[in-house]
Amino acid sequence: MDNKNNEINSARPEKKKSGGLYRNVNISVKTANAFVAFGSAALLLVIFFTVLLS
Amino acid sequence: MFSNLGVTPLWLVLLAVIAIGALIGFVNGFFVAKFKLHPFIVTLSTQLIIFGAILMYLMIGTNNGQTLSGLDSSYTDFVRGTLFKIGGVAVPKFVLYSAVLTVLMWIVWNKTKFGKNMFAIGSNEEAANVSGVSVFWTIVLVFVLAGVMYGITGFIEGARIASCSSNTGLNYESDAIAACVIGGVSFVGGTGKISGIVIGVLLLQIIFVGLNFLSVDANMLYIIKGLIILVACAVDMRKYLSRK
Repeated sequence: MDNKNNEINSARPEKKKSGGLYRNVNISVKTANAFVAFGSAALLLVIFFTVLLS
Repeated sequence: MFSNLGVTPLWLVLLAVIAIGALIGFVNGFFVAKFKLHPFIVTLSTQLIIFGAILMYLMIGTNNGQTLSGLDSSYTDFVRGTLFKIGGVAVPKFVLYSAVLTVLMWIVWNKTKFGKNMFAIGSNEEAANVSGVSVFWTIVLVFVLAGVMYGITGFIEGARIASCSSNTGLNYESDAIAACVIGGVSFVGGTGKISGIVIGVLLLQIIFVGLNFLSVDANMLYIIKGLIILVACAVDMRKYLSRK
């Protein structure tokens, strides 16, 4: 029975993952939030110091 | 470089750049649609090939790789000439051309079968295929359309800066990516609006013009641009994860 199921599964076309560029991204929303916060802070700091030093 | 060539009619030049852009777009689209190669890799490869071809072209005759300048005034006036004035500030003609192209793209995206197919493939390629959409030709046509737009943009940009070198338009792709991502075009595919992209372009331009006014080091602008792309991608990814 198991062999038969395996045969059926292997005969099915592999379902293509959706998600475009992020289809292999496997992180939680919490980690993504931290990433966004860190990136935004870095951007603001760089702009602030660039304007300050110019 | 070709001093005995004479002045080529503008419509012929425009047709030539559109045809060359379409051809390059077709090559890109063919490799992406047929062999399922990643578009970044394919376009990066053709970019290098074109860059080499331009460098060789600029070495022809006595030019020795120098910047092409002294362009005919009929060409530069066609793009840079004054359209109208607002309080003494001249608005150049290329603003009108960009507005016309934006409206044209809005119609293609929202009012044509090709536009609907494009979004369908971006959202779910398999579902679009099952629904009877020709995935291959739609992808090829998307790249051809992009190539045509690159050709027209090059035509306008050449006249705008009144010279052309191998470095003209270098890193413009990063500006385009940043503006699109800020404007809500998702890397997930099948998401994006022309109005969003226009807002993204204006927002990015305002940031960089503002930083230029503040006399910020030009090298720092690259760092800021890179960070903007990274943050915009992070926000886009977060949106995708929260929906998943």
